Amino acid sequence: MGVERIAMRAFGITDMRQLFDNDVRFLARFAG
Amino acid sequence: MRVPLSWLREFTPVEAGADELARRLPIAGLQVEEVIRSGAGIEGVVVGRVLDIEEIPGATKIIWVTVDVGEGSPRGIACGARNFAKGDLVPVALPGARLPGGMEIGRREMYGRTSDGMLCSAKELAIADDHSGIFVLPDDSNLGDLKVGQDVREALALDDDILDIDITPNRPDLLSIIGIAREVAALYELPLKIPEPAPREDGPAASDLASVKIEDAKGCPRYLARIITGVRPGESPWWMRRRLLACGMRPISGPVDVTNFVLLERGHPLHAFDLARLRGRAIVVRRPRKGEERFITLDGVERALTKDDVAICDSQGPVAIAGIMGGAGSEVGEETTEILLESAYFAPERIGRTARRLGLRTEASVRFERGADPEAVPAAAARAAELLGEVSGGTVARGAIDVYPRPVKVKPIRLRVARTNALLGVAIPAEEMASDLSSLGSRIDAQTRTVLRVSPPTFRPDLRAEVDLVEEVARRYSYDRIPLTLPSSGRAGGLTREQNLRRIVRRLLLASGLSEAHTLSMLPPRLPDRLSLSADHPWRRGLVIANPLSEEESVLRPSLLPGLLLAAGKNVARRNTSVGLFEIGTAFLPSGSDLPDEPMRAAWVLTGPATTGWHGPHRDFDFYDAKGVLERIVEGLGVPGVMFEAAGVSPMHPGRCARVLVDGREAGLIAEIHPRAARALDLPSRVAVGEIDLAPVIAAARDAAPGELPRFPAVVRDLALLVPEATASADVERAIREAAGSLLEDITIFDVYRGQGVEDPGTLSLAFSLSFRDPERTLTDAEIGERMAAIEQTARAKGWTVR
Repeated sequence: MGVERIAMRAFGITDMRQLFDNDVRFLARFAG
Repeated sequence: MRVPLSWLREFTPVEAGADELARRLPIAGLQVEEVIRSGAGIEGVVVGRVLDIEEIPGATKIIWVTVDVGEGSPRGIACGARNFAKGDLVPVALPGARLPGGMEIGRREMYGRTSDGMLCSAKELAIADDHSGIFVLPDDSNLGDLKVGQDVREALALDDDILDIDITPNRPDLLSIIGIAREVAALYELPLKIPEPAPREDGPAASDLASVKIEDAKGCPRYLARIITGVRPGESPWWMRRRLLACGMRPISGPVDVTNFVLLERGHPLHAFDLARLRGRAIVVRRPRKGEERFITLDGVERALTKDDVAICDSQGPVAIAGIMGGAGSEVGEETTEILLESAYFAPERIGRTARRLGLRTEASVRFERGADPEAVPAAAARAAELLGEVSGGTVARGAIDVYPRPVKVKPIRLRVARTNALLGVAIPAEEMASDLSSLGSRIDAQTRTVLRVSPPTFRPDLRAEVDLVEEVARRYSYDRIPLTLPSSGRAGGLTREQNLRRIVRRLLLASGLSEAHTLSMLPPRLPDRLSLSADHPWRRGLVIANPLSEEESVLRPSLLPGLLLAAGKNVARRNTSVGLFEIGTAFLPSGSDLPDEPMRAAWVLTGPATTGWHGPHRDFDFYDAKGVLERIVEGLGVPGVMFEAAGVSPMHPGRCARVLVDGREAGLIAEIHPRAARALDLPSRVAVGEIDLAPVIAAARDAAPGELPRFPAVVRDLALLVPEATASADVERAIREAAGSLLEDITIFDVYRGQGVEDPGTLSLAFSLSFRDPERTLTDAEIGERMAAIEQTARAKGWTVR
């Protein structure tokens, strides 16, 4: 299993592509 | 595996009770699931003899039974079952009796009579699941001293504790009472006694009565047959049935019970054929042939055989599916007088495949597919023959027909004493390891202080390599005695200086308000065209991947900036107007050799509003923001001597682009991109970017060393110079530093002016604040004057005017 799938479980991400989409709204959720 | 303690103690004199065993066995690796107390909960149930059975007028289901319970006068009891006859012995629960599960028996009025107790089924006594009728007790001849009126717990020897042990698939040897006894004996350092079976042989030799041939030696390396003649039908004695029941098996008939009993005792599956029904009185072990695919097993189900199965055949065709189930046509029944007893060893993978395909899991298939013991074949057959002689009154033919074309060989294993101790973190001497392993059945072929040569027993197919023996030693030593230690690799973990500083860079960039992006390492090949880059531009020299997953991702990035610009464009398209992204990653540069250079870089891109809210004027990100990000990095890491020099690099804005020099060498770039390039990527006209190689930055980073604060004051002087408009302030700054020498501590540009007094349109006034300090003393005016004069002289030499 890749690190992406673990991240999906950990952060409730439904679409793996979001991890590489670099949408600032998505990235901002990881602040702090 | 259910293990009655009374049976276990026949092989090793263990005194420990069920509870203690349940506690200690898990330490040796045997998980005890449950302790079943057979007989517990039965109180006041006695043996009774049925004297009379009569119908009750008006009742359809219930009959009236008169039983003698040894009290002088018989009792009358109403009963719903009719599976017994006058003279039978039955369990009688007297009024006040208790049954397992807590049921209490009392007197009941029925049809005007008083029912004085209850007759019990096997299920009501928790002996078996059978609830179809009353549990008719074995007759006197089988049970010696069974007496009317005797407590059934005593009469049937029901009091026993049974351990239900969870056996892992790697240990087929533990699917037997003797296998468990071997572990228990080793654990308690007790002797293990396995009586040598001694069947009373008589009459002709077995080989004169039948024949055995193996045609599929791969599927069946060993097949042994014994012949028993003159067998009487009938059930097995109570002591045998009690053990089968205690282990969860249903007694069927004398011969079948004997094979199951040996299966439980020794773990070796056997099969009994009715020899008279084997055509040609022959056994042939082979693959099924064409036309032999349909076969009815003894459960009455038609099964489909394939060439991959191992079939036990007589002279005509299949009579059993080897290692799984016998056939209906050769089953032992009431009329059987001659038995061919099969004791064989089959190839685990073949039995496993067939059992899986047929969806047929039997006591035999489970053991064969996990690996039976080829060397246990003769003793298991002898034990069964011995018991058959006792139980079914047969005559055991002399000898056995043992076909063993390819004896199974055990490969000795080298066990290194030091390696074992290192793995376990203990210090067990070689002698102790040797005795541990032999107590579990291994043979020690050779032994020195440092190494043992061990032949594992044939009943342990799981012992294949050194680590398996190490585990055995650990089990014997007892896991709970192995000390807990933290693994000491001799090296403490930690980040390298480079990793550490890279993390600091990441935090500095996050602290600058940027978001970290992860873009793909691959770029679309047409990107340089979209940016109208020249034919020799470095961004056109990206390495092309030989087999890209997609055309759009086929060129390795020569810089992090294109990917970040594309990501920024995507954000702008989604109306995320204020975008600040950074990425830390490698770029891929052709190196001239097979592998590219992969410098670790940080890059950032900023576009859209730099400010939000009501305070201050609206401002978009620009060149100075990109420069600010760079300064944040170099100041945060303490990198001295970072300089900027004007540069003209496409696709950057010619007047807003600077090379970054670290220790005088080019390390990066800060810029706004050219508005045309921005338009080509659907970005707003102002996009500020920066990119820097981390290796030189990290190499130049000063480790924090605050030292002493200066004790002497600084002297500050201002200097304004008129310079041609195109002059880079960085060049002026550098010229001043060189002329000022080591006393100059700091220089800051504080004003850029054009207007009254500076009317020449080609000229700008740059004002600097210079701070001088000597750490050892207070500077004099004269010394400063001297430095300022030198600076002014240099400036004039460059063609600049001192204001």
